[in-house]
Amino acid sequence: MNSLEISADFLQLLTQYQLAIRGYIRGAVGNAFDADDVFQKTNIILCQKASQWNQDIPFLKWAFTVARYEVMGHFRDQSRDKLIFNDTVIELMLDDSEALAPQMEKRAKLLKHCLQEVSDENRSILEARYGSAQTIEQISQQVGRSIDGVKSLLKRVRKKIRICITMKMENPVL
Amino acid sequence: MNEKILERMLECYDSSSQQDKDELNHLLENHAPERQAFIIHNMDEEIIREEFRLEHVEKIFADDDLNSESVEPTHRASNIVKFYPILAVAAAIAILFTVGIGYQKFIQKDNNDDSIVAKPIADTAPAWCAKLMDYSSDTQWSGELKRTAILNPGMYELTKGTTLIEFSNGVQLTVESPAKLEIKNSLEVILHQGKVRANVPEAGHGFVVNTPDIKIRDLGTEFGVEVGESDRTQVHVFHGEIELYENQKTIPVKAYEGFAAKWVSGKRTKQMVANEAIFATGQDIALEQWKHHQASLKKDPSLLVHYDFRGSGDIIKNTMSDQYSGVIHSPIRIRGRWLDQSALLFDSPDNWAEVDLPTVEGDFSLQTWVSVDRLAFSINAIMNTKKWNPDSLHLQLSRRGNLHLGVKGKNIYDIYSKEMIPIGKWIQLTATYDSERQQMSLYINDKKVSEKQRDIKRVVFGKTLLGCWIQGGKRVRGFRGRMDELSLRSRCLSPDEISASYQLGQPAP
Repeated sequence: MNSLEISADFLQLLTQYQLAIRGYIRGAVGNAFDADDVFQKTNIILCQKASQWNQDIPFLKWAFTVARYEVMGHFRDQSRDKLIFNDTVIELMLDDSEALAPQMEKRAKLLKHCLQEVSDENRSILEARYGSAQTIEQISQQVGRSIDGVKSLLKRVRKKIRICITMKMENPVL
Repeated sequence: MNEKILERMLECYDSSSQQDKDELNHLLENHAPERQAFIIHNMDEEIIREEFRLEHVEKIFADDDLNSESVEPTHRASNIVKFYPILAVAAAIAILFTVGIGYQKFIQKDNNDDSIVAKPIADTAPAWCAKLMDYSSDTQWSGELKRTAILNPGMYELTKGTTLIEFSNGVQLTVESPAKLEIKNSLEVILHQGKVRANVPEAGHGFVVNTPDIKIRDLGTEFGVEVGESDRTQVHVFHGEIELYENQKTIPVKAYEGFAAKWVSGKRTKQMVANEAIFATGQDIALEQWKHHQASLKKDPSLLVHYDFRGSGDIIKNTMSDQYSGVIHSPIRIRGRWLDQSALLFDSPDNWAEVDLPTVEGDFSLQTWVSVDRLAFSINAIMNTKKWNPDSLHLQLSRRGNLHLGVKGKNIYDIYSKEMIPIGKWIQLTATYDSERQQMSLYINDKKVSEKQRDIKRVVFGKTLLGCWIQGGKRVRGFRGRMDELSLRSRCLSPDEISASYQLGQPAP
């Protein structure tokens, strides 16, 4: 009979590092929807392999290894016409994502500060896009801007946030 | 880091041309700082998504709290946000249990150490992806398929009739022929042709129906999808909301209750109003199957009395003959297991009924469907012979919900179920007596819950009360709930017959 054994320590670490694992996958996969699928599968595999982990193994590194196979599997299963990255780039993206994903927790905290610098109007557009998952078309109708106008506004706001977070990462006093 | 190179990478990523893809790969391969910025750009978007998704959830719950007069709305909402990562892990574990074959387990804290051990709920826990819930005789599949077959991932073609498929996570799919349905797993199907109506409970949220034109992802709802010839798809949302992924886009459009639209070759051509009537429901199928079964049952010469409680006024008619009719006191007829009015409601001391049943010698089977609202009495009377003389019978429920059959012979022969009946659900109750084996048996739904050897010569029913019992001129026992159908046979039904009757008689959601 199969038996699934998950230690309390394992669950605690898995919960603690959800954002980092998510960031690692998103960083390497690129597309948000695909990343959601890979992230969900990775969590399942991690739970299935829980008995293979012990406290001598660095959890996050181990989790990234599992996620790496899931990301590779995702790209392998994609049809050729949908595939964007070549094999060399996938390897490079995975390596860089592994190095950068541990920042996710800190970046998420800094995001709250950086969002205070975003105007109310732009914040409501971010909310519409990411909170209630509205399409660019829907947002453009609501705010009375063109589709391209909304796209470039979102791009500008995200760039501003990225720069703000990166600067605060490098200069904590800012 | 060169901001312009990063911007070019993002432009190429959004483009669908092969030339831009090639350029993107070249840039990513040869510009490490910009590649890292590209990754951070994606990670930041993920953080922003997460932040606003949480805010959105927090806002919904805070609104709910305000509406539900909670004392500390913000406290509850912030707790939900705090536990969001735990929910993600819990979701993975839940999927392991619902989707992963062989992992139908639950987590239990072991007091002796820190480990959490998953143990089986029961050895009979389902290890299947989907199951055919088809008990009718008028459906046909292109291959050999038994009516209660387990459906593994694969392609299925329904050539005739309408059927119901239930997935292990509770998702029910009504399928109308001609249909070609490909089951990927318990959360995803591809509809190549035909009509389906999906009824998705909480455990099945995220259920996906793919068609040649679009992808539909459930967010807790009931919706219909039709795929006709030459890549034509229709989607109708009856309740709740869904996500539509059109034109291979990765960002969905939400559609809500009442929405309907048509797509041709992947392009949305028409927006309409949802029409429930064009998609068969699980209820429709279940009712048809039950009627079919009823018609065959009525050919059974051992069926002495059958009440379906239909009609109006205070008379209860025996559908088998003009004999053995009954009367309802303060009649309340309400919706039973099916959409029409066919059940008796017992909601106050005034609601009770009286029927006149024949004497049975030797074997008998007594069967009814009830839905119990509450167990309000020490003894809850389902049906009791008016008198408690030798050869009388009482079928009742204890206050805890144990089923009880009492027959007065030489002594009083009692049998009780250890199992307790569920409240608020339609259940089939059956009491049988096999004179050859001298065995009294009780069944709840299709499960035998008690049996004992007893020597019963006959049961003299005569005047029999439904929903109460009278002692010393007073109605002393009652029943609070609904009763839908009651039958008496002069033979002992087999466990298989009782199971078939339960399978065919239970209403679909």
